[in-house]
Amino acid sequence: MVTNRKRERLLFFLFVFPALFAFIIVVIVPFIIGIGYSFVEWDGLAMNPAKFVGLQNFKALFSDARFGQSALHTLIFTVMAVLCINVLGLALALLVTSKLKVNTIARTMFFMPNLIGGLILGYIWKFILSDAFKAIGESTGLTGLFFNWLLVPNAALAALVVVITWQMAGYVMIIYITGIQAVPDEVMEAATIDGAGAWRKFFSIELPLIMPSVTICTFYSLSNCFKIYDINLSLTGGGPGTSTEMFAMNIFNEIFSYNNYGYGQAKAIMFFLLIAAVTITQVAFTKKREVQL
Amino acid sequence: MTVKRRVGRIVLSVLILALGLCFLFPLYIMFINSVKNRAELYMSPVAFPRTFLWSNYADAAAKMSFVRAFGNSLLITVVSVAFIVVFSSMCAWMIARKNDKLSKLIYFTFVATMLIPFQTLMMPLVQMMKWSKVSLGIQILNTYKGIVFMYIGFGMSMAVFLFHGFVKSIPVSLEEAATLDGCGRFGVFWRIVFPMLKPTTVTVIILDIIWIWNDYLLPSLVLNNKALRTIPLSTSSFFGVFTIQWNQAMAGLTMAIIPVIIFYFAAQKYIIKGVAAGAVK
Amino acid sequence: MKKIAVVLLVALMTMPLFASGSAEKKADETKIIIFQSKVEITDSLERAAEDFTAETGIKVEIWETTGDDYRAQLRLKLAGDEVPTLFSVSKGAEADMFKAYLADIGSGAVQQYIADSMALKIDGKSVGVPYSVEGFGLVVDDALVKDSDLASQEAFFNAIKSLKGKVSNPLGLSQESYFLIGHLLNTPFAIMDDPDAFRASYEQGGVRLADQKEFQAFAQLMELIRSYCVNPMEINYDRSCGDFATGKTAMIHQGNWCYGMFKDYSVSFDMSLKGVPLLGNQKISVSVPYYWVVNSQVPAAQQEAAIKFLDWLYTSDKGMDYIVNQFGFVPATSNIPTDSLDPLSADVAKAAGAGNTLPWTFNDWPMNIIDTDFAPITQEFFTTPSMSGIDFVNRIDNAYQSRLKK
Repeated sequence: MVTNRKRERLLFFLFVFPALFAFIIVVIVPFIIGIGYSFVEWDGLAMNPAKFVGLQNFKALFSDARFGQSALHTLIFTVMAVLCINVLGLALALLVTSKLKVNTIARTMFFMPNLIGGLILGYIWKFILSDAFKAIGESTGLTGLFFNWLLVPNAALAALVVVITWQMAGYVMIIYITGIQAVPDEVMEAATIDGAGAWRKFFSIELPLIMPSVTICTFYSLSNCFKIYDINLSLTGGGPGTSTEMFAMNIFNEIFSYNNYGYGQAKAIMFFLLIAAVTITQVAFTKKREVQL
Repeated sequence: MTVKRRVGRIVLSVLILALGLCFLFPLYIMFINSVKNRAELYMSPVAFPRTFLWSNYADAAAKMSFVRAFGNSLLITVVSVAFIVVFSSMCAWMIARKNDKLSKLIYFTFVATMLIPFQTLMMPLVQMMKWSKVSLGIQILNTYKGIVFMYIGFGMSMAVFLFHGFVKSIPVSLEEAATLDGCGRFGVFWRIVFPMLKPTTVTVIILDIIWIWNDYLLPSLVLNNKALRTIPLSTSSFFGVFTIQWNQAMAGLTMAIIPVIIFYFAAQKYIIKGVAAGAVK
Repeated sequence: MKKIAVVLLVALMTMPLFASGSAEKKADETKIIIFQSKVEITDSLERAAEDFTAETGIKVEIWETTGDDYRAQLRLKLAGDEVPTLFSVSKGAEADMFKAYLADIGSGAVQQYIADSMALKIDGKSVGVPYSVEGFGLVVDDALVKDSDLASQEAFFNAIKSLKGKVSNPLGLSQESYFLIGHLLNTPFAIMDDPDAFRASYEQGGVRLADQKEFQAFAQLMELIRSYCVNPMEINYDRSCGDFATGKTAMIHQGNWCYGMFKDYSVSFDMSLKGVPLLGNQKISVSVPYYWVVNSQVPAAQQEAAIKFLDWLYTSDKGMDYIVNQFGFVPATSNIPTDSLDPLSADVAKAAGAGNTLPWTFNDWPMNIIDTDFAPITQEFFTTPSMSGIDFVNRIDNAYQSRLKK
């Protein structure tokens, strides 16, 4: 019995260790070092001294208006984006798993946007939303919809939501497809035989069964939206003014433009704690609703 | 099938295709602008090109040392993804089955770190690379193994997260049956569990390939030497402080994403096969 | 079994990684690494480096990055185990920050050709070699804008109004931070009787920008631009140059570097670089944008090699040819001939030679304040009609002052 337990432990270690090793060295250790930095004042150059300032950086956080604003922008953006991404992604997945012939092509088309990296995506969309939209607006006269979105704060924020939805919907679609295809046909057929309508079938049977996918996708899109940087930088650059400056951009600027490395790290820690709180709540909520087959 | 249904299906198909084309609009813009010269780009950015300057592609390829960059991207991506899939699936399965406090803690750590913004890790990573060279004699900077190791580390969170979610769909009874038949733990994992995780494996592979292929930040930290540059790094040469060589940049980018598209097409078939096999169970 | 085989196969495939190719191991001692920021000259610089290696045997490796990223990357690279030997900084706040890394290169042969006003000195020691000379101001279309239009502030303001009927854009700015506000804001600071003295007293506190006549004129100019010109937020650098080259814009606030942007268009008019006539000013702003500096933290042998490279680049025939003809720089050292310059660069060289220039004051502003604060405020100004020019100046004032406190 003892040898068995030991063997179990060894096996556990063997299976888990390789993954943990790289992970701890590359992610955990730098993160902890980063936490250490949040207690100093430093400009990032190895030769210039770092001054220990204790909790001063954290205190300053609470009176930093611009940080608070970027927090607000990020929150609004994330809520809207996560909703759009998941609703669209799920809708696309449902469309694409129905038995139409165009499925394969459609699936590829929806997924393609994701193949382009964030920075480039931002630039292309920036061009579309400013120059192209203006041109279209002038020629069709529909200036209510086709104007330069990037010049108006609320529209710029909406633009960010559009772009990230466009990029990520295909991504989450794939995950939803996997989940949907794991639902056995017999279950759905039984429901149809029992006389359930389409909506009923979806909400009472399919949705609970694909909850694992929902957990994953919501979590994934939540964390991605919170951390958004590339698209933010290339699409709006935080503008107009600072109306679309998100968390990650604020932190990056703090570190590399304002040269306040320690303060930037402190912000990053706070930011991390915030997302962690939000996403843990979300995961707990959706995991409860997962149904085992 | 009734006529009404048939018409309904056709309408739906057309709608889906139209939506799909909308999705592709930015890609269209990218392509048509990659063959224009600068003046035409300025005059008519949305219009179909009047002349096709295919030389933009040759210029871009030369400037980017495309072949070399492609080779680097390929090597790094394939090796990293292979390791990520193997290690993370093993780990996810073990901690999902064991489910004791330690396992839960490990899972939680993986998930939590998905939230860390990369920017905050940049400086400590560079310092660690230096420390590793100076104290341990292991060079990470400017090496293939260095960057692959880092990708493995960074890729663990998401992969473990995904695998963990789907391990649940594999009935424990199957594993127990195999054990009764005399299968060791390794055997149970590789022969029974892993094949059933195929859809997830494919998902992880696709997502990771796209992430690593398009990644700019990590290579910018680790790969300084021109000979080791990956494709995203090499396209950076078109993006100056104020001026962006749009036409060449678009040519370079189009070349960069074509391999991924081809890969995706090839993988598509595999997804369908894999998922169908799973469904037949 | 198959799975194990696959795993083994992958492991074997990765063996070469551990064997590592020649691209990875560096055993060379005399090798210099240049980390440079100007994407436009990369190709030429590499050719220059090859020529240099052919002549001297010293290996040169060039690192580069996207222009935006340079400042961030520089800091990261300096923290790593392989650091750049040669990199670039601007004079002023930035050079101060990097002080600990700037080696004394007074022994270089090129130093004798650098005028005092152009030199970069820390504690009396020369630490930099000026890249080039750049100047900015109003790049005007001579066919549309006469000298008389720029002779005085009043004529200038009137010209903006009257040009509105003739062209789509009398005065073009573009959305990039420096072109939007960074350069333009230099003028009110630089036309002060003693810019340095003013800055010193301003930073002490108690002085308001809006009380200065230079800034009041500036405020008026900004309002005029907002009312009569195309919103700069809608134009990027590419388009701005394109509009100018095709005659749609009469003048753009730019510098001699933009000349290269016009070569794809068939430009039918003459152009020149003139000062911004706030309070009648006629001078253009000229200075050295960047300096080459040598990393003092690398072994002495590498520092020597780096100094050799700079000497070669700035004093040998081949090197000088690269600077003027390949990089398109206006030379900052007195030994390099200046006859073959484009019209805008010629204007710069002429002004620099005569000492008839405005200094660049923005290098002494709090670091990066243009990107982090001034640009967003200016964006707001252009999208908020109710903000007056003086309000704008006050906002700039407040941002500057609050950065000083940090």
